[in-house]
Amino acid sequence: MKKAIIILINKIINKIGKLVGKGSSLPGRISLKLDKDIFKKIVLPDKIIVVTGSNGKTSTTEMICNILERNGLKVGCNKEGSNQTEGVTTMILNACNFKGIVQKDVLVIESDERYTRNTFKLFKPKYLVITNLYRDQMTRNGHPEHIYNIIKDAITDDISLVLNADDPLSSLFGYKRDNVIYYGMNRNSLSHTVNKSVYNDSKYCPNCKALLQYDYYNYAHIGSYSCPQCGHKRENVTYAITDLRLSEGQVVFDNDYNIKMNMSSPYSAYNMLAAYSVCNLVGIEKKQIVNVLNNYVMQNDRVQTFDLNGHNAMLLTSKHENSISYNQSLEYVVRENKDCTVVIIIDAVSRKYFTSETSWIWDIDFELLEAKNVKKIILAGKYVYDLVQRFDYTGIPKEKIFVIQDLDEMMKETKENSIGNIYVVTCFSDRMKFLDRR
Amino acid sequence: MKVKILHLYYDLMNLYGEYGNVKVLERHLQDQGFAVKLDNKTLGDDLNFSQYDFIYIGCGTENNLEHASKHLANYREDIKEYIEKNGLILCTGNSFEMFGKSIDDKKMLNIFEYTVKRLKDRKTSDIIYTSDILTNKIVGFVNKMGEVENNYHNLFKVEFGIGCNKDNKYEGIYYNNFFGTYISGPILARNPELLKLFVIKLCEKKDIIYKEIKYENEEKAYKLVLTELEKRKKGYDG
Repeated sequence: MKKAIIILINKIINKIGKLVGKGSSLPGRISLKLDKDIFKKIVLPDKIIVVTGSNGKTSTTEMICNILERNGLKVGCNKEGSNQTEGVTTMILNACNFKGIVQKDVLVIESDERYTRNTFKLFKPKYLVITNLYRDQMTRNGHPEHIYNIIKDAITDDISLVLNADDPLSSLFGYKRDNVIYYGMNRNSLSHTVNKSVYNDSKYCPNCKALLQYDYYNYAHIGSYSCPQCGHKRENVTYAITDLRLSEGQVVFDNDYNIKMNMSSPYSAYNMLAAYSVCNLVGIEKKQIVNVLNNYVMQNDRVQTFDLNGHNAMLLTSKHENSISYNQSLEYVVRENKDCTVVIIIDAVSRKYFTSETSWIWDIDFELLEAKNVKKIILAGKYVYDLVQRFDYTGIPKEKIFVIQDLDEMMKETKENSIGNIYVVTCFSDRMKFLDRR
Repeated sequence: MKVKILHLYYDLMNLYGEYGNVKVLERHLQDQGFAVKLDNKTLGDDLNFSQYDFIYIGCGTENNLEHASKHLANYREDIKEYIEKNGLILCTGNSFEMFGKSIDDKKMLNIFEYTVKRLKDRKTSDIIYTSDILTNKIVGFVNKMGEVENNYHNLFKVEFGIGCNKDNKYEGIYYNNFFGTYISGPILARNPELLKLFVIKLCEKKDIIYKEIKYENEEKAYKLVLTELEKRKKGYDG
């Protein structure tokens, strides 16, 4: 079939899909069925950036797009669509004219870790940004080393890797390889020398399993490390967070660039740095990048603030089946240091598939909530008793913990008897269940 | 009365919150009046099994399992003797794989006859199992990359989800007091009857009369998951 016809079909189905609110995978799936070699017949821009990793890829992708657009480039991006192979295909064919030429200066693509190897059979990016690899949706992903092996299959020598030097597993892609650019966070006031998390996935070198030596951690097992056996280590970075002052909401890049963070955390600082690094690599001046990042507000923000019966309330979207995402929210609550009530809801483990797997609850550092400012904790949702069991092994006094399986009852209790600010910690799959009951 | 627990490869084989198994067992034994001594051991440590009343090994990555198996191979005769003398062991996730003859062409401890074939892709599923030694069903999740062949000591029957081998409906290893299963995560926290079975075994070993204690939250968590999985099973069965 002629490529122009396939491109037309892709565009039409995509339009109809948008009208009826369907996902973005179908047009790409049909196009690939019609011609599996369609990518050999279209002309892609030279600059293609792919972002993958366990956490932060959506935020990073969004920031890259905005930086490039605000600097006058025409950008094709799947930030609203699917990040699997077919969704990516939809977006790219949609950006083609009927001669098969992509009408964009640059493509910025978020890629699901497990689909990267399929996507890269269609086209190769110039830059591959890997944000990190850690425990995430293990019911689907198996474990981080498994995902590492899958991504490794997709990487060829011609791709420039943009890697987080501070993550021992994802930085291993750069071990004894050329064509790698590293970014990372230097030691700062937040850095610490003891890892207090309930698990440590980088106690052993991911390459040779000797004990890793750490100079410091920035969060979880992200920090500065070296392996005395095989030499795998935090490499020197081209782009650095040289200071992080969370209380002031300030992060400093490469000594010279002060950036005001809208939602300050080490996690968002890393995402911003990843975006900054790759945008500079495609030729945008650092100063121009920083202008966009300053006071940057995420479009699809995981954080929402509102008033609830006279209390300042904040919803911190955290990913179920992802302990680091939860820890990120819990650390925020504690760092804010305001008297508060914390509501944790686990009602559906996933919005996309069924599972009753709750083992990941044991990987979350709920011990963080043994803090003075946390006055009350409300546990809720279908799987509340799994949560209760886990909380039994923290040192949090039982009087602080309220167990309410029913969500209407939970809302009543939250509205009527909260102490101080309210932080709601829950997942995409469950957050509307809270917001709709306000 | 003292009871000694060994959490073997506590840091290397702890992929799905498995330390929870040791935590709940420790708490329940304390509730029975035991003074619990918990030892965490790992690669490079010297192992002396005979002093322990219970040994636990959790799930690891395929790579970590290989490193654990190489370390444990130095103590093959000791661990074999422990098993033959009815020592209590629980292996969850892939950790029982190393007690068989081989994983693909790699030789393992050869304590049991089974062999393991590595799969190309992972197999995962929620599961419901039954067992002759339990009244209630077992619930949990399997996240595996191996198929077990020639296993003559099955622990569970598969009621829902995947088992050890796609060609039959069995799962796990049960021999003397060795319990192995692909179920990953805090299986004891999620299955009160299985936890009770180990507590009773330890009480018997120490000549202590088991006290019935109600753990309501644990029962509720279990029942909810079982209900959800049975609904799911019904959906599959049609």
